[in-house]
Order: sequence, then structure tokens, then C-alpha cells
Amino acid sequence: MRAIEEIEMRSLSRIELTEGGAQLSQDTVGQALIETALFSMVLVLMLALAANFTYVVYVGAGITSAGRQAATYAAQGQQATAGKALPAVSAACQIAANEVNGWAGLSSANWGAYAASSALGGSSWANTSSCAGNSNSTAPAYNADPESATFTVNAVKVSATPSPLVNFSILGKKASTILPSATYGRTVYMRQLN
Amino acid sequence: MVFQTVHRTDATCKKTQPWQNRQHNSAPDLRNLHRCESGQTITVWLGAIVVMSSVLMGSAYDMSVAWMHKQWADTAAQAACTAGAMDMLYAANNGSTSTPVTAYNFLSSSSGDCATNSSNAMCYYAKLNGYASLGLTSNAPSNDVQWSMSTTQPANSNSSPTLTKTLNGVPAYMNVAVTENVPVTFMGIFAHSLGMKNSWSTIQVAGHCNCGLEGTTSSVPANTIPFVAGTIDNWGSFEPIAAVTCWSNASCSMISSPVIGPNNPVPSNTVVPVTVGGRAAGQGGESISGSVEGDISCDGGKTWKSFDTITINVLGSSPLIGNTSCTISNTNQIYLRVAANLRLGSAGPIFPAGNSYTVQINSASVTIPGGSTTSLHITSFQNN
Repeated sequence: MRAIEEIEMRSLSRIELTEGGAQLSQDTVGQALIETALFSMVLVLMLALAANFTYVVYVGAGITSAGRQAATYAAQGQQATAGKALPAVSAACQIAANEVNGWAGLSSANWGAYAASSALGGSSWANTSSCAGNSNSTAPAYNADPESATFTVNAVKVSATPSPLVNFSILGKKASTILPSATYGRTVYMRQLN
Repeated sequence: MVFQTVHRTDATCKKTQPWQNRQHNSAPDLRNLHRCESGQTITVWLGAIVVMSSVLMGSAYDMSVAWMHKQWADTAAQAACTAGAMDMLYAANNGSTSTPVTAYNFLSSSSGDCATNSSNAMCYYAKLNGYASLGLTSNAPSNDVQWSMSTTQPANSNSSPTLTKTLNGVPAYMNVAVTENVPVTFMGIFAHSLGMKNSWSTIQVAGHCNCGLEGTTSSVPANTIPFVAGTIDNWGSFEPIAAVTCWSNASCSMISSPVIGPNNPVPSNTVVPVTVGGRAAGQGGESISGSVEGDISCDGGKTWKSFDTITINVLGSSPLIGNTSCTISNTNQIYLRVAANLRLGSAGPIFPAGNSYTVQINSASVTIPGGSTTSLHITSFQNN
């Protein structure tokens, strides 16, 4: 008996479904597809924004690392072999440039590196060197060593104006024209053993 | 059973959907049922995903910013530690327990905080790199720089330290810690919305750097050690204080003060005067006899800088040695090396017995006992 009842119920269900089935199909067909498509657009947009933001963080951390490596090399580069002379500021600049050059989204025109060093007892940078041509990059601000008769200062400034890594389009406008553009710069100062 | 369950949920929908009144039978209308409930799931999921994505992206933003500050703190710690270590090296090389400028001295302390004692090179360089160290304030953007000195090599159990203290008793190692309370944006908003007031206003990051001095049996960078006079023993050994030992009939080395350095370069073909001379300092201050002959050579073997010229002059009314000059042609070299060979033209001691003599190189000099040395070879290194 129980089996028969289940069969009857299933039959009834099939009948009722069939009664409204034609209209049901007409109302809902493609709905999920549209919803999925709309949501996917939002999702893709969020992913693109996340990728671009992550890239900005990457550039920010990268220029800090580049400046640190270059300043360290400028200040202690002779220590690898005792008694060697310190590297020239142009070499320090090149160290920073090697770190930054070739990043995706950074052409040679939108990043720059400056290296500078002071002289004993000086009142301004004695040597400067610049790499690449970011028009927003300038020489680092001069600061003398507090014991300037004995030590000098090395400074390396790296700046970059990153473009969106994922340059998506919305209504015909590129992300690079929609998203705000900013120049990020970081200066690292290190004492040099003169 | 399935339809009954759905029908109950459809009751509310019927109230808000007047067109459903057209239904005649008690059976549920599948068409209206789906119209009413269509999009509910996706709406819920969309809302949940938007909220979760906002939380995740907000947290990612805050943590990314904190990570960048961590990089900055590391950089400041490294710059501060390097500056402090150079003061330590200066003190070690100059027989001092103080920094070049006494007002900035920190070597007599075992630890310190730049918030209360900012007069040293470490605090200065931390400030140059963005950390003024005004002290940490709870739940507010702030930073602090602390330093401590140690006689043990930090965090390297695989290597025995070659130095614990310098000859002047200054500890050979130091640590700088830069701590910062970084303000958070989104995490703070989420925390506040959950009633966690001030719990997530800031997140703390820290950068550390250990540095120090290593003992060495060879010359340290020339530009760190001033030109110092040494002593000479009965065998004619010349032993500069700068820990470079040489022996009679062999090359002797002295390390000079930084006449020329990377920030004070010598243009090509510039004459760099180096003075080598000898004068008697014995009884009566008589001059050394003219029987002594000598030569001065420029040792171009290893470390010449390109196209620099050295001219060596001789002091004294009775010159021992003549002038000479040499042109340096090798590139990428560091030292100027000036050698003065003093010897007798015939057998016998270079300096007569009974007197002592002074050999002067630049402003430094050594006293040589007469009668025991048949050959003296002094080599002066100058950083270039």
C-alpha cells in the first residue's frame, strides 16, 4: 500500500508540474544565466581592482627594497673585500635601477632613482646620480651626518608612478583613465664609512 | 509533500503579489511561486559575498599597508644600526670609548630609547628614515626606536664570535628595534561595528637589525684607521698600531688617514703629494750621512686607481732618497702604495749605531734605533 501511495503522489506531482510547466519555462529561462553574467561582471571588476591594488602595494614595497639595497651597497659596498673603496653613487643608482627596471606597468618614463652622497664637512650633496626619467622624481633632500667631520651620508630615492596592472575598460573608458594616478617615493638614508 | 512545504512559504508572497488572486484552485501556482522566490538565493549569496569580500579586501588592504610599514621599519632599523656600528668602529680604531662627537656618545650605555635619549647617530638615522621615535601611544599612530649593546654575537649559533669587546672595552654588537603602531582603516571599521572600540585602531609592526664588529688579523678598510706611528724593535720590525705587522727586510705597511676618499676623489692626472723622509734624531741631531742611498717606488701591482699620479718629496737637509712619481694605469683599484727603501750603499747598518733615528711619513713618524737595521722597507697605504 505504501508503495502504491508513493506512486500516486509522484504521478500527481508530475501532472501538476506539467500543468504549469510551459509558463514556468517561459518565465525563468535564462534568468540564472543573466544573474550569473551580472554577478560575474561585478566579480571580475572586484578581482581586477584587487589585482591593481596589490600591484600598487608591490610597487610601494619594491621601491623601499630597491632604495634599501642601493643605500646599503653605497654605504658598505667595500666591505665584501676589506680595504676596497666605496662604490660611486652612480653604481648605487644602478643597483636601485636594476631592482625596478622591467616591472610590468612601469615604463622607463614613470619610475626614477636618485643616489646622492655628501662630503666630509659639506653642506650639500657632493655627488649625485640619477637613473631613468620619471619627471616626478627629484634628488633626495639633503641631510648632513651629525658627525659630519668623520662620516658622510648616502641617500637613495626611488619613485614610481604605476599604471594599472589590469587595464580593464568600463563603458569604453580604460582603467588607467578612471583610477587615480599617484607617484610613490621612498628615500633611504644610510651613514657611509668615509 | 514538496508542494505543501513550498506553499507555506508562498503565503507572504501572495499578500504582496495581487496578481496571484487570479488563482482558482487550492493547488499552489508554480508560476507565481517561482516569480515570488526567484532571485532570493542569488540576492542572499550576493549580499553575503559582498560583505565577505569587503571584509577580506579591507583586511587585505590594512595588512598590506602594515606590511609596507614593516619594510620601512626594517630599513630604518638597518640604517640606524649601521650608523651605530660605524661609531663603534671609529671608537675601536681610535682608542676611544666615545663617538667622534662626544655629544652623540652612546657607547657608555648598555641600552637606550630614542624617545628619551635621541642624541646619537642611531636615533638620527632612524629619524631620517621616517621614525622620529616620539614613543609608542596605545591605539594611536606612533613609533619608538630602542637600541641595546651586547658582547655576544646575536642569533648565530653556527659561528663563534671573533670579538666580544673592543680593546677599549666597548661591546662589539648591538641591536636596534623600531616599533610602530600603524593605523588601520577597514579593520577598525569592522571592529567598531562589532563593538570592539579601539581594539583595532592600530596594528603594531616592528623592524629589527643586529650588527657589530668582527675581529680581524688583516687590515681593515684603510679609510677607517688614521695614520699612526708604530714602534720598531731591535730587529727593525715596524709594527704600526693599526695591527699590521711587518718585519725587517720585508714590506711594512702603514694605513693612512683618509686623504682621498670616494667623496673626495682625485681627478685624473692630479698630483697627490706623499711625503717620505728621514732625519736623524740622535745625539746632536746630526743628519744621516750621505752614504745612504735609497729609492722610492710606486708599487703598481694591485691597487692603483686609474691615472692618478703620486709625487714623493723628501724632507731633510740631507735627503736620503730622491723624488719620484708614478702614473697609475690600472683601473678599479683602491690603494695608493708608496714604498721607501732605505739602505746603505755598502755593508753596514742603515743607521749608525749609538743614535736613534726618526723616519717620518706625512705627519707620523717612527723612531729607529741605530746600528741594528741593514734594511728598512716602509710601505704606506693610502686609501684612494
